[in-house]
Amino acid sequence: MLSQRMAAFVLGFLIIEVKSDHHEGFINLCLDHDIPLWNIQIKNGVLTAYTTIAGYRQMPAIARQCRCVPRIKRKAGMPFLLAQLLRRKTLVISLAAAAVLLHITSSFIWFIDVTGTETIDPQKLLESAAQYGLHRGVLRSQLDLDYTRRKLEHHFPKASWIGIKIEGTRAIIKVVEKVTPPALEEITGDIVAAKDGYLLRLVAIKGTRRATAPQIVAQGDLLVEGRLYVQDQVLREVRAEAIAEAKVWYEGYGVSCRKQQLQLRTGRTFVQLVARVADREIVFKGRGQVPFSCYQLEEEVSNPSWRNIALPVEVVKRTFYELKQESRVLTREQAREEAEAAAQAEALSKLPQQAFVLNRSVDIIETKDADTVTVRVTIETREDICQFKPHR
Amino acid sequence: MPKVDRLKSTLADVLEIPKDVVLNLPRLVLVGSIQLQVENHRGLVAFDGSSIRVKLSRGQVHITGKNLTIRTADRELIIVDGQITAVEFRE
Repeated sequence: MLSQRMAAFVLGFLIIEVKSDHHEGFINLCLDHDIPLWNIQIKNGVLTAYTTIAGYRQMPAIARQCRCVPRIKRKAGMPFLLAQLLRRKTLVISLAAAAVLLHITSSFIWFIDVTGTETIDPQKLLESAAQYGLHRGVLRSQLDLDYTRRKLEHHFPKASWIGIKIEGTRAIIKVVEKVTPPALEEITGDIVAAKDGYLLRLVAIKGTRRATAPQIVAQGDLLVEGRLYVQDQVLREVRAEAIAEAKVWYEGYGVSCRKQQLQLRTGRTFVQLVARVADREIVFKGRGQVPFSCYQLEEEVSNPSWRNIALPVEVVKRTFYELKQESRVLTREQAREEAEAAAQAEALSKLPQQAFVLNRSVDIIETKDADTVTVRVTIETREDICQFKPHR
Repeated sequence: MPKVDRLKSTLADVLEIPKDVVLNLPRLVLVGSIQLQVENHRGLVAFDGSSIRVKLSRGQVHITGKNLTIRTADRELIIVDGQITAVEFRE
């Protein structure tokens, strides 16, 4: 209806008045002839209605049939407005001149802003930008932003990135300055043990050795001090460097019960297809109750979309897998294997990437419960346990 | 109700098809008391500022109220705006 009204406005419409004793007949005949009518009112025996220009042209025949005379009360819409406007030539010329002037003035850059500078002088940046083509009063079409940007980046090595954005008549130069981290040498500190272990080899590259291999070390123990001494007097503080290789042990525990209750899939499934809009769900497939008493649910949610247009609808596919309970009794050997696998997985998860495995041992821990098997897996590794600890 | 219509009504129930489509009945949508939409009408019988009578496939619907205006009208649909006080079906 809105599009119909908009079309009527664009094409122009008429407000008509009809004086008749049988308004209903006139309206019915108009409807039969597909003459569009809207906003129909009757006041003091006079019918007022809106119609299109084409509709009005069809009315005389109907009016003769009804013995009435439709009269135009008012003309409205774009064509009539334009016609009215075109009669006022000075106004039209002024509007056109204003539009042209606005177009011309908006083709130039009038304002240049600089953002993001801390150490770089914005004034110098503006001067350089003017040198490379971006200055107040320049035509937007003459700008080569990429060239200006590259030249500015080259001219200001302290800037990590420079971007130029044009917003109407405003140019915004955005600067991201380089942040240089403090030199590593400036941070002094010691080397300590990163974890408990048995120190096998310690090479102090820089600093004063405070431990000797072989020896047992605990996490946090000082290995190499970041200070140089001359006759027990501190000469200067340095950033200690060392290689400290040690044996480290990782443990993992696994428990397995010989009597186990398992939930296995029977192979029967029930699929439900649902469209979800906000909180409402429309079921397309799989209405009603799930036909299994014990089941496992897997849900796949997908959003129908095309390019970057996403619909506010989610398509959910729910698959219900029927489960059956089954009990099994493992032999002691099977239970041990299962527990060992779990213990091994736990121990391996603790291992750092650079560790070199030296040895692996498996111990069965005896408990009072005969149905439970507990296994401990110990992995022995050789690794660097150096950890830098700054002085402050 | 004629026998054919009874059959159609039963068929519409079984096949879950809207009855207004099968039986060629009008569909009336009343928005509060400010607007009434009459679909599938057969033309106007009477119209003035306080009452409108619309012909239907069977009988008429009589709308009474104040400042009644036909907002839009075509062969299928009539939309009546105003302060509607009563909607009545007559044979």
